[in-house]
Amino acid sequence: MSILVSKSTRVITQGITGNSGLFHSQKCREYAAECQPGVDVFVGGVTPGKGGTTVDGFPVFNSVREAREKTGANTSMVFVPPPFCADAILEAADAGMELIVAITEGIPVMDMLRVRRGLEKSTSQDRHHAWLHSQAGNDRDYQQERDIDIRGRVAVGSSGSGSEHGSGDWRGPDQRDQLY
Amino acid sequence: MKIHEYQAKQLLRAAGVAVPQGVVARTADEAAQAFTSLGGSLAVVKSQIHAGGRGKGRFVEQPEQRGVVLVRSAEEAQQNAARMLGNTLVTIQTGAAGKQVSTLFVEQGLKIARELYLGIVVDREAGGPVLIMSSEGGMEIEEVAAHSPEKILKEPFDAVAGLYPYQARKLAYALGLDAAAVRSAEKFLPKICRFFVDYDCSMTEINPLVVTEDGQMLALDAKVTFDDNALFRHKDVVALRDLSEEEPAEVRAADTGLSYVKLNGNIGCLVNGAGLAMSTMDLIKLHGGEPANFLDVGGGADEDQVTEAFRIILADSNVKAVLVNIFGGIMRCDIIVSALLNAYEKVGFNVPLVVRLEGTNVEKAREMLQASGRPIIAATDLTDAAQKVVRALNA
Repeated sequence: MSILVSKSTRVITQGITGNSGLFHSQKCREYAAECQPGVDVFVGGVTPGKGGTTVDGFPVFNSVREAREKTGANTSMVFVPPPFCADAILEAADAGMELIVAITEGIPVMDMLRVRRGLEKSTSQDRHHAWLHSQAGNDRDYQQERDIDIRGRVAVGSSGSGSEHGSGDWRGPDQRDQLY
Repeated sequence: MKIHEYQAKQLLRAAGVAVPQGVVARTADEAAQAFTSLGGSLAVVKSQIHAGGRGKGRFVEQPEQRGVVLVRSAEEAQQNAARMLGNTLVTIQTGAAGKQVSTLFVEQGLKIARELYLGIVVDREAGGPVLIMSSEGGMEIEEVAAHSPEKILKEPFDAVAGLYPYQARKLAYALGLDAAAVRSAEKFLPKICRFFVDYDCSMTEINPLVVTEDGQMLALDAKVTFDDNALFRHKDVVALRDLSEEEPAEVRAADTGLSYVKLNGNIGCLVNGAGLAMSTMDLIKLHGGEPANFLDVGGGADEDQVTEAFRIILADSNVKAVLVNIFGGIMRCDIIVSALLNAYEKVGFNVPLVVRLEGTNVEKAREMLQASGRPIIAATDLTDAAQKVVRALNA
């Protein structure tokens, strides 16, 4: 298991002005505040065309590069609709994000192959298994990924519900109650 | 999503992949005209259904009639077509109920020198698409893989760059093709690989892939399956959808926003999440049961969708027990129970029901179940649930 998220993780949300993007960003921010009180871990988001606005306190930028430069973010979580996901992941990689987390449901296979190809030139090909919850958390209770296949900076979980189930069981019955 | 052979060949032809000349016929007269318009002394009349095994398949109403036949005159084409159209073809893949044939594809006869196999899929190990070929054309590839795996050639290719001509030659030489056929393969194989990527296919299978006596490589059959997640950018493919070929319950589920796949077992499953649904089916099998379906209600289903899910499961007359397995993350357990009680009232459960709930609002859900007084078997975890549902079935 590799720890991918640390105290220095700073996260932006691609697609932050969408329903899911905002919802999960809010939940993550709540959870991060418990882990690291007083530290801004979730520092903003990106929606092309809505740069310069804010949504529930999150500054919104037009591009990932701009968001990184203005907020110091090193991690992105991708909450754009599946047809635009590959492009969003590649934009994040191009902008120098060290870790990119995307939920793969609904993304065409061919798009993920293109993403893989696009990332090959700039990343290592080590495989790790990881549980993405350590410090900042991906979400308060259910967007935890336990078995994660890592290729470079892209984390690919093989199953959302399986991961929930796994992380729930992994915590054991005593701790599981704390999840809910 | 799947399409018919004649539709696949239209797309392949447009992509520059060589296919035989063919004409669609929906009446016996059209089949006769098709024979004449092809201008040869030999043609093949092929039933158009999504299932395979058509050549060996037989019609319920015309037991002597095969699903694919060679004909040598317009009259013969007409007579065969009359015995095929409107009748029910049963093949190894249709199940006993068979499929009604409403369209025929009449194709030119070819002088065939070699019959090969070609398949393209995305291979997890290779991390990309792989072109699979075999000298054993016309056979089930699974059988070849089981009995003579050395006859299967695999060539991974890059989804962006496509298959290089040297890769096509490598395969052609390994298959023992002659000089003319190698040149034909050098054009054919990269084009069909490009088609696979450009059309977001999850499978393209040409069996048999033929080499004619004059060295031309052509797709004699064509089976194409598309990645449903990519259909948004292939409107031309969506237009080819034939709902009459799809499982009605699956169409109904898809319309409701549920992922449902009908299977042959007798334990109906309702689960949230595709991964958990597969684990649930694995555990049912591990404990000696057979799942009747895969059903993922998804993360954000509402009560109406879940009620419809129960309706779909219970509409399957094979279902003798139902297992509900919910690990509520986004999905709230109380919504599931509320829908379940609703289904009890509106649809009625005449089979044992095992419920395993965990996660968001689980206490509230359990109280609702208890208060309802319905004879529901509660399970504590996934293994317990699988064991209980198999036991309930055998009780």
